[in-house]
Amino acid sequence: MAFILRRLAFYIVAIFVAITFNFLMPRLMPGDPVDALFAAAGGKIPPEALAGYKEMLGFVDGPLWLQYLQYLKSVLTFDLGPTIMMFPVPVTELLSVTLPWTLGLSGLAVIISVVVGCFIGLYASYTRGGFVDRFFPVTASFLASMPQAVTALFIFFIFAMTLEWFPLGYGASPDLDPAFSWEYIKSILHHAVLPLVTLFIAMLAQWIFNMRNAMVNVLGEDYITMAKAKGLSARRIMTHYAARNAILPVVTSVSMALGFAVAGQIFIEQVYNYPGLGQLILKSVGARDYPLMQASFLLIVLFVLAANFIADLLYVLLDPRLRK
Amino acid sequence: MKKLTSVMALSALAASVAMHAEAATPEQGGTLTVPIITQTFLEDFNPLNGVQADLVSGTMYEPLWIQNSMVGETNWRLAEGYEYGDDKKSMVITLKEGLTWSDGETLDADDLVYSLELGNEDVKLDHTGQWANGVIKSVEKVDDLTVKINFNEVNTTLDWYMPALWVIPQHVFADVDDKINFKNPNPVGSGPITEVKTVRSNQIEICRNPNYYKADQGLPYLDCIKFRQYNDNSQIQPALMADEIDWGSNFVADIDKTYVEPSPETHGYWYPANDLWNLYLNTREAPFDNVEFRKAFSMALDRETIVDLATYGYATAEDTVVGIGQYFAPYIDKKVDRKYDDLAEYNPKAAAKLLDKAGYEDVDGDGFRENPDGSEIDFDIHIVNGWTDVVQAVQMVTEYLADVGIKANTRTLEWSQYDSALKDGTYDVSFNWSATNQQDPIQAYLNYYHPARVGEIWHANHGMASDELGALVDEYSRIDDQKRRDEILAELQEFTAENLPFIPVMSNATWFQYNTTRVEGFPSEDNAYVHPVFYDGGRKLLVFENLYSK
Repeated sequence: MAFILRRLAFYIVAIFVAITFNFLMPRLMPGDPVDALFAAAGGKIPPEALAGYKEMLGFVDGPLWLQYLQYLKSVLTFDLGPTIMMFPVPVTELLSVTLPWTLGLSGLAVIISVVVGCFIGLYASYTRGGFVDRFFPVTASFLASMPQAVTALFIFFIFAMTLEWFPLGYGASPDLDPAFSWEYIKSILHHAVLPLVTLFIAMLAQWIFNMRNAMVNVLGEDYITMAKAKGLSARRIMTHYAARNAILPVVTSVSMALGFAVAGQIFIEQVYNYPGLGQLILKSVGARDYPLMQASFLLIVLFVLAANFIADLLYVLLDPRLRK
Repeated sequence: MKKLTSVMALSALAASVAMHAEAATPEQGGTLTVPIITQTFLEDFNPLNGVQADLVSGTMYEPLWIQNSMVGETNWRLAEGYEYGDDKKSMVITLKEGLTWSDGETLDADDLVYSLELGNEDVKLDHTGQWANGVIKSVEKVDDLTVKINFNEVNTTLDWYMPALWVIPQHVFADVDDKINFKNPNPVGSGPITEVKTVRSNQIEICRNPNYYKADQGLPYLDCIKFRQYNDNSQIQPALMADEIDWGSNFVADIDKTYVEPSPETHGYWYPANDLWNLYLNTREAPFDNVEFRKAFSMALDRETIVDLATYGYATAEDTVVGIGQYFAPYIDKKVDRKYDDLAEYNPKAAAKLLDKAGYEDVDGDGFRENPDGSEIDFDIHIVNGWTDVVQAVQMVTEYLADVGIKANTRTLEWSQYDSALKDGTYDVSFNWSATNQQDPIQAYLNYYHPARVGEIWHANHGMASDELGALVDEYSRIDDQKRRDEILAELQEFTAENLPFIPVMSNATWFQYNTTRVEGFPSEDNAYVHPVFYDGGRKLLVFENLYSK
């Protein structure tokens, strides 16, 4: 219990520090939103209309500390104000339409790659020097070492553009109404295949190695030799004796990966025009859209910390030593 | 006699049938699919907040009129005409008879007065900017179809800005308190498509206005427009290639090979000239204070090659130095153009000769020329970091200058530094666009030479803006005598060509790709009925009105 309380206190402090950094970072960047708006418009905004724009976007800012207090208040009340790039749409509205797609895609990709990766790692370590051990880790790390954008473009070009097996973009077909129907769900899955495969290729190697390395260490322990001496089946030794111990460091990595998954997958969302958070963040930085940037970074920080906290709780569950 | 008339009537009838068959009105039906670059679509059809202006401008809300600069005529839409008062201190706008909103209510002078006065109530709603800059004094209803706008001072330029006015239904908007945050979920419009069929995050479909005022002409030929959401250009290219969209307005890499060659019958593009890009020279400092140097600068550039290499040949090399480009080609004064023709021609020998004669010689033997007083010539050309095509153009300019012995460097800056240097006049040379694609060519010269623009806009602080030139521009804005207006334009063009405070280089391309797999009637080089700008409500409307299902 004390362990959990200690961790909780740590997370609260961490959140506060993150919020403060979150406030300061965009303000340290050069340029301001009106500049960016003008640069992006390339002179298409007539100077006659400038006065209206400025007032509309609220460029009547006070001193920094006042902005900070205002910011704290808005964070605590979840009233994050209007975006700049799609004024006057509220930040929360944009986040709420993009977040589910990102969570679905990245979450699914992490889970699939963790499960598959761990099993391959497990098997590879147990049959060290065998075919699985020699083939999969090398192949997976070769694939993972290609830049994500390149993998994504290759897959996009072959399966979407040339073979036309999969759609060119979107989370679901634009000609279908969002509904809880088999047709719509089928469309979502159809659209998710290529991004998922790309992410899977990029992530798989990490989990194979994580699991394999943890297992190799554990397999050298005396209690494994003991289990073998007892004449237990290979499968039982692998899962009940070795894997349960080896999984501890993997849990930390998984929780981190899940937390960061919220940040979206900028390259992949860009190539497949997937309606996720990654693109939104990229665009908001380009447009110097402070409210949107801060809200998205805040979201990432909260998710990473929450995922870590869950990992801490899982540790307690998995490791009896921490329960004391 | 009776027989004769009936024969005549019969033949006339036959002739009219034949004529009708020739110019048959296309059948109604079909859908146009166009891309919109946005994060996500929202259920927001409020024209006043601009959240989804490209979905509603021209298509859902028609302008009063459209200035079609490509063919040089005014296309009357909601208005039948306008007229300036005799003292040029007012304008009377007459609406067409029998206009209705899409819900069947009458569209009349009350709506126009209401729409105009919104700009007076709130600067955020002043989309024409004509209240904010003090042109409009008041608006009054004359009768059901006529509205009079009174000015503070003499003015004859209001007609350029009126097409930007959103004419909105008073019976819908009058009850809305917060006009910026209003989402207008059940839009009532005046344009060809007003009925929102579906709103999804990646597609919005809007269909035929049941009460459209041009329905008796069979318009619109198409039933609906599907707006598709895309995040950027790079996703639009594959969508065009795969026939998912019918009309693109975006950069497409290597377009001949990737887009046209695979299906030459249906895929096409047309990139007419848009605004002119100039190298602005700071004429207050050496060596730019000498007109001979500026002339040599201009003659040292091979504009054709710059355009070919830096913009893949999509832009148009400028072949005149009068200050306006191909976009306003009909307004270029032929006499002035001919007189200064050689200045826009690539002629490094003549440039070198001109420099020699003016005393710019290489005295210290480092391969570069010095000022006549012996001081070194070494200047920066400003351009914004990341604007890849124009950065490359600037790099080529420095190479051409080096060929005639002038040392110049490419200097890439962040927008804010570039912006303030241009406005404050602290640059040596800066490469920037110009106001040469607006309603009237005088607007370019207004931004080049009017003293009121110095410090306010990028194009005026080269050191040659003056009260005399400003007065010419002002005079133009207060008269409607075409002959005198032409004279003023010619004078300003001559001043520009003679003095070269900036060096015209190239006209930007207007990005326009079309796909006739499903829809036909797009403008093209052979059928240039309008400048194909999707992001301009009026021009988009003129294109849409010509489109029909195959």
